[in-house]
Amino acid sequence: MPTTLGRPQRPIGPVPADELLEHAVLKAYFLLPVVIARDLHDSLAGGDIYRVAFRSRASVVDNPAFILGNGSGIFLIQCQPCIFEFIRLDQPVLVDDETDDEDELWDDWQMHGSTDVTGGEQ
Amino acid sequence: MIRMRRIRLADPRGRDATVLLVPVGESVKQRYQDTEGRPVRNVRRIRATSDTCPDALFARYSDPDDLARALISGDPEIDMETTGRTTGPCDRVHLDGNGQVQYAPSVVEARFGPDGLEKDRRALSVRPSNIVTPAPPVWSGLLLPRAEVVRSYALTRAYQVVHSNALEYDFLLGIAAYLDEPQSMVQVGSGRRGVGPLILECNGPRYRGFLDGRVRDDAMRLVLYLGAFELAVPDERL
Repeated sequence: MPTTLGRPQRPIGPVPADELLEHAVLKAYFLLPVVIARDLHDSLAGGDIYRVAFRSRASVVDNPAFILGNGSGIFLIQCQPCIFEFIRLDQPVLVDDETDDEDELWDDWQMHGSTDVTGGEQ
Repeated sequence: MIRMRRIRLADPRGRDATVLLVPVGESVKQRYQDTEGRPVRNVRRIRATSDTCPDALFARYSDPDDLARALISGDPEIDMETTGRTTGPCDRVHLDGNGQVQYAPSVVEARFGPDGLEKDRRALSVRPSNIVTPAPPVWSGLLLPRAEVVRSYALTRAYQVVHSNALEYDFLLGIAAYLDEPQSMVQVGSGRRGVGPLILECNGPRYRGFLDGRVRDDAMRLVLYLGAFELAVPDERL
């Protein structure tokens, strides 16, 4: 699929916030609109979220993107779909406690650090 | 078999339990297969030993021409008994300049300037994981509408919280029902108020955690979202 940069895209929506919660954010861009329609600006300022096609370069993957606004401005969020499921009590969960050793890159060095694992407050 | 982490969570009643986190992002990752459709898996293999690694060869052959001739004639870079074997589980060790194992190294953080020169060095600070704490976690009680959370934070990671026994299921179902009714998310974190950053792995990044719960009939869905940063622009960019 070709890049979407430099090509006009039509935002789809507004979409419910729950749709964005079915995704994990990959990248976030701050948008500086050159020109923006008044109704779209007001809609974003009111908390609406729109879905839009966004590919920074030609790609075989078509990850969705969302446009939203908050008190800081307007943002474009590129996302990756996630699959959540409702689980019941009798649903089996296969557990492998061992995490990949590459995930614990610093594990060997714990002997040199503090043993406080309560974390801090912001 | 799913690889998963554990997290110690508190519920609105102040009770806590250690439950499982399933990384949901993995379910949509691209999978590779060979020409016959069989799944491809990664295997770690031995490339060189301490006697055949480049540093050892450079030490043995000080003249590059001698090294080149030796590589062509004798294959000193290959240990015929070891090279290409699968490693199995590995322990990471640190070596000194002579290739000898260091048993109690002092790891330091060296900082370099744009010119490539070392500016300073200091003891490495270790920031441990804090998702399974010895102290009981705290229910923050900070409920936020879902729409407000998605418009304020970049939720870069998501884990489905699951049970491993019936008691844990009841515990998670209670939290999910509590959050489903007001259609809100609760902030989950460290510290005395339960709003501090979450650190999933040692020296890993700090995240702001949000728990989203839903109930449908006799099933529930509890998801821990991790926000890597706020959707805000630094003042100098404005």
